[in-house]
Amino acid sequence: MAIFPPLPGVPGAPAASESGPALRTHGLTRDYGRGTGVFGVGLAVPRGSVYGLVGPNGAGKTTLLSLISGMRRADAGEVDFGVPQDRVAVCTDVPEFEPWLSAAEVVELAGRLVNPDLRPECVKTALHRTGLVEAADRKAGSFSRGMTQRLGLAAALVAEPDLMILDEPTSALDPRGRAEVLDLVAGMRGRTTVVFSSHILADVQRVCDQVGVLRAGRLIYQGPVAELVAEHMRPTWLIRLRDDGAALCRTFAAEDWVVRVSSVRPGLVRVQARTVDEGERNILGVLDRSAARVISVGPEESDLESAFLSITGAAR
Amino acid sequence: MSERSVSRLSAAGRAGTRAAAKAVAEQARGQAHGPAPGQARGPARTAEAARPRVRRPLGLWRLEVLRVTRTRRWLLLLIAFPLLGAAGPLVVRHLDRILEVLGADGANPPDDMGAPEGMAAYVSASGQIGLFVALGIAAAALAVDHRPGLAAFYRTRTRQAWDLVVPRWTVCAAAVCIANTVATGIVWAELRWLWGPVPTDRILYGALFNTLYLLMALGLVAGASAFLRRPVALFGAALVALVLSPLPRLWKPMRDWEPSSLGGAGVELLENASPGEFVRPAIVAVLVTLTMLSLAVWRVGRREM
Repeated sequence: MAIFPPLPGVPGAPAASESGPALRTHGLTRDYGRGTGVFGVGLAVPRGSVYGLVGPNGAGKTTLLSLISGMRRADAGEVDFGVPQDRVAVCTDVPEFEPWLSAAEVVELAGRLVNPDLRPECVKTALHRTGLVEAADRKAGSFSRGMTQRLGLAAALVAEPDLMILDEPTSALDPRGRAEVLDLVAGMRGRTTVVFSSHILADVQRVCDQVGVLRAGRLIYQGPVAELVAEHMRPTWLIRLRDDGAALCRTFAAEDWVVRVSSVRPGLVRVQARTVDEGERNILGVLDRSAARVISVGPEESDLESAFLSITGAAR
Repeated sequence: MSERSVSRLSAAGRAGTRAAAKAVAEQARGQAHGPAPGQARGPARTAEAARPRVRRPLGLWRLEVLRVTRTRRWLLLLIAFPLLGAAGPLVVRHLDRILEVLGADGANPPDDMGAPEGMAAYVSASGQIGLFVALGIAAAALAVDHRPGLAAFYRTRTRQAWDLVVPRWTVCAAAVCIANTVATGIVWAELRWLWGPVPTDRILYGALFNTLYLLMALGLVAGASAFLRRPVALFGAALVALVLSPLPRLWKPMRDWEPSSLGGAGVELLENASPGEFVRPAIVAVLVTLTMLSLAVWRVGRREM
């Protein structure tokens, strides 16, 4: 990984500690003026985790990753790597390669720049893992954008890094390619720490165990994905019935802990409680007292997208 | 990508690196053991063909060699230096016949044209077309940050700015020097053939001083890369600097130090100049080259993408 321009507060290669976060930033700031940039970001990426960095367009995801990878210089703050700096690999959102090199040569070059003693098998393995074995001898200049993105991943994987920084790695891929890359990233959990920026929240929820939410250059949430989703789970339940549910709606409307009750369609009732706790305690009691023929009861699906919209203040 | 490769990828993705490596090894073994039963066997391979091709590891230096060879930049150098250079003395020697064939009545070439004029024809061609080609090749190689994705690829993998600048400049300079040296050798042979023996030491000194001038020109491209990003801008800036470089001659004390005279040293040495007259410009050229290179390394290292 590049050591120029010098990372703020990193005099030379840092000593890698075996425990603690694989990556930590303290008050990382880069101000482009007019409110753009990143401001006082303190990331803590647990070792072995897949960390998703999400945020709306212009939130500062790419800037933050550029500061971490040393491609841009911070105005203030520090970046501390918990892994040796030569064990950090970066894959940009739009990777580019010398068009006159074959895919295998690109991957070999990427590996040898980091590790001059790279074994040839590593090149084959990286190409195999990214599905490029059959295109190994094709010139990089003839690749589609999706294949180029895979090649970027292969170039990052070849030296078997301890920390991978992936900026929008699935942005140019078709659904099948996206699924494959997400499988690949998920398969790294525990062995390689991955920092993964994406605007596709379903991807982040699928593969990341930790998430950081950026808005207007500031980190407004950081923690486990499951916790974020649970925190922002809405106290709403869907009840499926044999009958049309009109009677049940009236029963729920009479309860003081119910905020809103509505019939979504005949046979499907949505109940919104004041709190999750009140809903969980009372909803089955009301159903028990009613004469309704209940098919199923369940909380309305909560996901990262709804949590993201909730904490970033955007309307659904 | 075929269905087979997709399923292989998924399997490898699930099982991780070790499984992927095993799959690759098995595939390689399968290939080594020849065709599967039922498949046609190809012609017997000779011992020579069976020997695995030894490929040199791909590092920054070999990458730059490939940049010159695979992008056909060597072909431009071949045309600009040896081919055009070889044509120069021949044109001078047979100028009267050429003018006659072209029907240029009234144009009388001077009768006393000799080896210096033959050399002048080469120096003129290499000093214009050759110099343009050399500047273009260097500008294309040294535009380190022109393409952001490519810049990120190199900048996140190399440890120091030296790695980004020096191999690119050195291999490019070596290619230009080889082209110029080969061309000078051809011109020397032509001069001997067309006009008789010429002093060997003067030819060698001329080649040396001309090479130093070309290196300085390439150094100016490196210097431009310290501040500019686009290849066209690098080329233009270096060209402007070269055009303006004789200006210090207007000030008499600088006249003996000004390096642009190195470009025509080959001709003047065949006339009546002595090699000692070019030592001071040569020193300046070397210093300018080293300064520009150092500036490029320093600035490219400090610059953001």
